Amino acid sequence: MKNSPLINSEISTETRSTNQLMILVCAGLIPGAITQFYFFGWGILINLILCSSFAISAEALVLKIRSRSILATLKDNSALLTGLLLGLAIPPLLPWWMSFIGVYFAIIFAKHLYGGLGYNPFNPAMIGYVLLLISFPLAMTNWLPTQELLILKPNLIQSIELTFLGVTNELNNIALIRTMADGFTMATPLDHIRTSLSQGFMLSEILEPSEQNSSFSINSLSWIWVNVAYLVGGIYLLFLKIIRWHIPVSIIASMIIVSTILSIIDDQIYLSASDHLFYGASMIGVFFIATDPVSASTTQKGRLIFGALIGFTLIMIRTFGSYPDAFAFAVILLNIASPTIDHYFRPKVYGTKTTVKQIPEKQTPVKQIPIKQIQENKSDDDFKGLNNE
Amino acid sequence: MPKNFTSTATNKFHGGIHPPENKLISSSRAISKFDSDKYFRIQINQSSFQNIEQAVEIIVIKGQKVIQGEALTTFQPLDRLNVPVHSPCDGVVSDIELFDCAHNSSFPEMTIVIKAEINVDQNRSVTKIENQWKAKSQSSLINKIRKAGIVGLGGATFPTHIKQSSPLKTDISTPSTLIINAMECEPYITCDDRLLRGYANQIIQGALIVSKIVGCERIVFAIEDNKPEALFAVQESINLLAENKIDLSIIVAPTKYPSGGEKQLIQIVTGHELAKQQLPKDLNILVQNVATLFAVYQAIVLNSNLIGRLVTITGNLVDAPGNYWIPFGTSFSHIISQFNVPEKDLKFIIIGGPLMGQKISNFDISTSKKVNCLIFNKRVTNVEIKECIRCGECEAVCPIKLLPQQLYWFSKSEQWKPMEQLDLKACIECGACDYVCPSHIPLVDYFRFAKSEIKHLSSKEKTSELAKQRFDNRESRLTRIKLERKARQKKNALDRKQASENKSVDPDGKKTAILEALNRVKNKQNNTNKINTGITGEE
Ligand code: SF4
Ligand code: SF4
Repeated sequence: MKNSPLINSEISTETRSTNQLMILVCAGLIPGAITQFYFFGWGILINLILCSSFAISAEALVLKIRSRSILATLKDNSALLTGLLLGLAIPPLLPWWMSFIGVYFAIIFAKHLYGGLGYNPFNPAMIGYVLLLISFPLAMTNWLPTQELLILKPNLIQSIELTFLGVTNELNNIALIRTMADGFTMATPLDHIRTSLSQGFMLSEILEPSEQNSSFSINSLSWIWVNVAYLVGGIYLLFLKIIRWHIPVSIIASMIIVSTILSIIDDQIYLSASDHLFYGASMIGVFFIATDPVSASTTQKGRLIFGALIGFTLIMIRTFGSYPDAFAFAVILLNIASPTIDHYFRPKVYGTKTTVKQIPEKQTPVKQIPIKQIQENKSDDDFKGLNNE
Repeated sequence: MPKNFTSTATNKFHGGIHPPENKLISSSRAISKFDSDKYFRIQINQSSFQNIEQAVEIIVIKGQKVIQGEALTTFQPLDRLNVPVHSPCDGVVSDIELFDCAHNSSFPEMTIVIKAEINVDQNRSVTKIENQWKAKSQSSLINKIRKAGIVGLGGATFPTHIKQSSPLKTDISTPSTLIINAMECEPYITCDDRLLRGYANQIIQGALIVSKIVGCERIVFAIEDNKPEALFAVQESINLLAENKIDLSIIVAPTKYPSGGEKQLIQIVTGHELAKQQLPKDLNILVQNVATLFAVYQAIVLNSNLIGRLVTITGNLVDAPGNYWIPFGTSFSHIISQFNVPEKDLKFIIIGGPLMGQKISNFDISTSKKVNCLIFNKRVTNVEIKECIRCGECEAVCPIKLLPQQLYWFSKSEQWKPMEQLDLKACIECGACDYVCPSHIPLVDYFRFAKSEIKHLSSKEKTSELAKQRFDNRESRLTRIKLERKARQKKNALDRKQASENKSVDPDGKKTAILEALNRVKNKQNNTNKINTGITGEE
């Protein structure tokens, strides 16, 4: 091409490339990942390493099959990001082959069968997650309680053994670890609340710190910290302008509005906005999953709608659906809708809303210039054609 | 003059970018002397929107002596578009030939080669006809501007006399305004900045002349806030103005690309958007670039034709970057040797700015009215083009509020219809989307290609429609003739039959004979009539 990118060769070293963007998003996950590691132990680290290496190997494999340049494409770090997101979403000490299935399905089916980066209509990590959730519901909802509550804390070696073999000599198996926890806790706060509600408890009883549910409050505190850490990472992304504010702000706003309306209706059944925001996968979802540009809406107005609908769907499924957390479902549902949203929420092109109406064609005789030469054979169309070029 | 005629812009346009300016490279050096070449190659078409059928005529022949400023081409009186070109020096016409040129089309252009005889840089004594212009009529001023060969010198090279030939109206809602465009928003370019620092008085004079021509109520001088020296010079010269007849104010806008685009500038100054198909004159506005106004001043007050312009020579390969008066027709290779540009590092030259300019790797072409900046840069590392990740950055910066990402999507699959629906036509090719795209997709290239393709298709459609129409006309004509002929035959046969019947009835045959004779005459008349109409129908 003759006029090929001048800019790119001259000055755009100043703007961030796709490769840089992806690695910066990965970096944004660090605070959350460290916090999760602190509260939930070695299993998190093992998941991260496993999933990201699975993701990279899957990507390399597909590129090889599609005979694309492997190194150049791997450098865009998108596979790494998918692996990391999935690794943080699945429960620690999940059997390795389940991670393997999830990641390979995400990369091969959800990403490359659609044409690779830029063409995937769904967030690959979430597709992998949902596949695992539907296929292995028990294992996927078995979150370990926070470390503080564990009497038997698996160390690194034991964690590896548990992940790969399912058993370890000293501790036996995961089920045992869970039951050996200090008092009986359901895995995540949202899980616990849902089960308790279904047993006829009221929210005030469930959430109130008391002797019986001290372990619950310890556990939920760790989840709050995890969400705060992701919030910090997300604000860092916003600050560096790696993601735009539209999606996070609209999700959070609509979560707050919807949950507040519900809790006004009955605050003994419906959780408050702050509980929704800081339990479960809220913050990682808001800042790192819903903002995935490829599968989200692209116009600014569209993104506001997209985010608002995710928030709404999320609260609805959490409250009335059969899954305690539903970020993956909400995001995937809205991924389906995003082309339609884009179509209906285009920005108004320059010149479509004019502030000045056409000036009426009355000419004051004083200002008229008699230019014979030029005004002969003058037609207005000519003029228009000219300047519009 | 009122004390506070300078104000900051309150309106802004959507999007925009802040690329590194790189202006200091060339703006820190005062305008300096440039040693001209011996040969000049003047393309005869130097304004955009030249019409092929209305091409200029060359009025010199090979071997003819010319003097500096002499017109080399005419412009036909009725032709509204063309402007003449002039000889930059005293010399001889040594050749008239096709040469490569820096136009977008890259087709060779008819070019007049002039060999200089005496030193070009020697200043001619100019006869100043200061202030005489006030007495002249508007039409004679416009004609003068056209004769001087003035086109828009901001890079668009649209013939100035066309813009000025539609007078502004006096309307209560929008005062008729001349906007002086001194934004110069593209990186690297500093020639307007330097011109303002040195010749602010002359530019303001030029603006006054234009304001007389179009009859405007106010003049707004618009400048970005990154040129304080130029701004100061203009303030000084406005202070010096004795007369206070016209409302002259300055608007300082924050630096943001592409604030110098005509539509964006109007939005900054007035807050209005031009509707589709609307021209600035529909909002009672005329926008002129400072270099154009300076040329107007030169033409009207100094009585000199446009033979050169201030050009920014910049880039990291140039040993003395700055702004220079360079006559049109100077070859790039001469400039390369003048500025000691190492040829082995130079892969291409950029004409104009890095965002809207043009990359040229053929150095055997010469400057023209369009060339306001030449960038000689060492090539930095190649960037990799990746897939679009739909990040939406391009949409956020587009001053026209288009959706470059979706346009790109459709242009890849060559779906022109949806692209038209997304208002591709409104794209000003500013390159802001290109600049921010993290995947480094050359979006503007795709858009330019799509635009030319759509244009091509629509013209093809038009011709085929025309052909079809012609075909249909012919068909209907032929059938009409056929039908007429049939009707005639039928009638004749009927007549004959009647005649024979009449004969048998009439015993002595006298009456019949008369009738027959009459009928014959009538038939003959009818027939000739019909044949006539048949022929005219065919014509
Ligand atoms: S080049 Fe066209 S699409 Fe891109 S930012 Fe400029 S006007 Fe918008
Ligand atoms: S800036 Fe580039 S990568 Fe981002 S949406 Fe636009 S075209 Fe796609």
